Amino acid sequence: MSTEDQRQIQAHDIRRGTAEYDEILNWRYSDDEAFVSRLLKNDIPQRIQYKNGSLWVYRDRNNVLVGFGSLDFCDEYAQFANDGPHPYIPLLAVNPSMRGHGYGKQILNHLIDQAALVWAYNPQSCDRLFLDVYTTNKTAIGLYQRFGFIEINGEPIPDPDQGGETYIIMARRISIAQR
Amino acid sequence: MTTFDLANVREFTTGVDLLNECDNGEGMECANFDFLLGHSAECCNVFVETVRRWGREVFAGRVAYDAEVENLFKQRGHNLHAEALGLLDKAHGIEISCFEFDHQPDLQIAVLSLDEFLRGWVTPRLAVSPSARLRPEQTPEQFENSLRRLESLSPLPADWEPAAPDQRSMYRRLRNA
Repeated sequence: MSTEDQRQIQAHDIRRGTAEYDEILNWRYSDDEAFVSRLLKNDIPQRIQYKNGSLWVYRDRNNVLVGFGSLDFCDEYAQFANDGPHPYIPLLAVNPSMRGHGYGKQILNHLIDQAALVWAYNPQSCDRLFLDVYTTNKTAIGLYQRFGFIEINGEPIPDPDQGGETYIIMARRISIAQR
Repeated sequence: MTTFDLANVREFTTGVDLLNECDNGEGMECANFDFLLGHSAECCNVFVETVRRWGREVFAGRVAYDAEVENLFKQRGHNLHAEALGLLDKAHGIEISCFEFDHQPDLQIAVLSLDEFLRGWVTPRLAVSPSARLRPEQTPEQFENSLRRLESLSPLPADWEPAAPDQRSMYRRLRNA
């Protein structure tokens, strides 16, 4: 088995209150990634309960949790989606102790595939997948760009609730080209 | 219900009441009971959708969180759940001697949904994520530019398939349907 095969991960959808959720909630992030814990604790359960959010954890072949990812179908960037609902990635993260193995790419790929699959079932739905990212998070921005996301809002937007820290909105298409 | 202040929520939680509409005037016990099952299912569904809407409004910062509102919703939710379960029990008891109730499956689904909703109860709070709280302000020119960028995005290739086996099999089933 190649190293790449060994690092294949499997997705499991979960909810708040499960052992997996408690485990990922306890991961320790650096100060400039503190928002990950806040989002996971505050936003993701609400997206699942009140919106159309889903949360997956990802396990490697040794059953170790290597990361998590979330997807929502919401109207937060409806102005860019014909005023309708659209897929949105609220948060994804790799286990801080398991970085550098390409898990972030696999997680992002799974979320894109899931959004595309939902689109394939309903081709009338919005075919743009959105996310937002703080401009200081250069590593994440680079990853998103490699997966076809482009910045769409023109210039960084200050977030008054985060001390004016700026973020950008990114999007990629998830429709499938005609054969 | 258009707002979520305490008075409105009190009115809503009182109004979502099975017994207010349990008699549809047909005078037949089973038809009346079937109507009650359907009404109960509708109450459960309306309740869940209303609380979800309240949660979204608080999450987005459009409505301030009020603990009293939450308590009212919670109490009514548990009462509705208990009432609906009681109706289902009764339906199981009389379905053979009477006839199959058309609305029984509706109520079973609605109760499952309400049960899951109540068990996963989350106190709504203002979002951390900016997307839920903020609407980016753009000039018309910036907005046009954003739309142009969105238009320039390429679709996935025609031979695209999901990488994960479960997603891939779903996609193949759809493609071959």
